[in-house]
Amino acid sequence: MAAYWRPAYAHLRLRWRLEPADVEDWVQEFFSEYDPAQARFRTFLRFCLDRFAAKAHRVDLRFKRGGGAVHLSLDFAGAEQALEEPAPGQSEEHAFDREWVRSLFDGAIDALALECRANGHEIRYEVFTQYDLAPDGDAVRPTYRAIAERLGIPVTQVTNHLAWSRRRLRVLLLERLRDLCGSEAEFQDEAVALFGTDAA
Amino acid sequence: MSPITGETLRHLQRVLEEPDLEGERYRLGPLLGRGGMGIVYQATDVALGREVALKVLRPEFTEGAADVRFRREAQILARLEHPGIVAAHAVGTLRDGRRFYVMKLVRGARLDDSSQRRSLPDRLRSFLRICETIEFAHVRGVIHRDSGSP
Repeated sequence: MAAYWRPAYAHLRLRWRLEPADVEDWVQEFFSEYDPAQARFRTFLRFCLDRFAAKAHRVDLRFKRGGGAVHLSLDFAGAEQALEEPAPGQSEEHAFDREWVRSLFDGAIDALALECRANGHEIRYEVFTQYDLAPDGDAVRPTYRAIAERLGIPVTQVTNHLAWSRRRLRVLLLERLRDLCGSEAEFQDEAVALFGTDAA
Repeated sequence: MSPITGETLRHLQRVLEEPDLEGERYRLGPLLGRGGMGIVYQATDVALGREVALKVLRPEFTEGAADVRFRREAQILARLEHPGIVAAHAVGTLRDGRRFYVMKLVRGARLDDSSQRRSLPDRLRSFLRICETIEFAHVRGVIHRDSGSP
C-alpha cells in the first residue's frame, strides 16, 4: 500500500485539480477503507474497479476515445493479445492475479534488457530471449547447442548467460514486488504467487 | 515489448523457482513439494550415484530471519539421529545466494494420502511412532512448531 498512496495523491491533485486539504481527506478515506486483515491490496483494487465499472454501466457512461483530459500510454492491443480466458475451474480473480504477475514479469524483463544494454551485456539478454522467451514455448524451444551455434559461442557460455539472466531477473522481480508492498509480511505473501508452475 | 504469453510466463515461473545446481554435485529431479519457507526436489547425487531430497529456500528468502531459520533447521536435522527423522547429509549455498540442504530421500506413500485406506490400529501405531519421534526431539530441546494432523 505504501507504494500506492503517493501516486494516488498526485493523481487526484492533477487529474481532478482538488485542493491539497481535500485530497488529503480523500486519500485518507480511500486507503482507510482498505483493511489488510481482509484482503490484499490488489484484491481491494479489484473491488474498487468493479464498483467503478458497475457505476459506469448503470449510468450508461460512455468514454469517448481521445475525449478525456488525460490519455495514458497503455498497450491495450498487447494486453488483449495476451488475455487468456480462465481455465475450467479457475475464477476471474485468478485471471486478475495472473495478469498482475504477468505485468510484474513484463516490467522486470524490460528492466533486464535495459540493464544488459547499458552494461554491454547484450549477449546475455540475447541468450535469455532465444531460450526462455522462445515464441513457441516448450514445443520447439531451441537446444543450448543450437543457440551456441547461432551466436558463435561455446555451450558453457550459453548456460552461464542463461543462469545469470535468470538470477538477475529474479532479483529485479523481487525488487519490484518489494516496492509494491507495504510490509515484509505482505511481500512474502505476494511472492508466493510469483514463482512455481502452479503459482498463477 | 509485447506482454509475454501465458506459456512463457509459466515457463519463467518454473525456471526462476528451480535451484541452479551448476557446479554442484547434484542433478535436479522432479518437484516433491512446497512448504512455507522451502521447496523440496528429488535430486541425484552424481558423486555417490544415489537419489536424495534437496530442499532449497524459496526465492524471496535469500537473507534475513528465514535464511537463519533454514540454516538452523539443517543443523538440527543433522544433529537428531532417529529412525523417524530424515537425516541431513549436506548443506550449501546456490549461486543466487539461496541456501539448500540435502536429505535422505524417503520413499513410500504420504501419511495423509494413505491414512484413509489403513485400519484404525495401523493408524494408531503410526501415531505412536510419530509421538515417540517428537518426544525424542523434545528431550533434546527441539520443538517442531509445524506438525499437524493430516
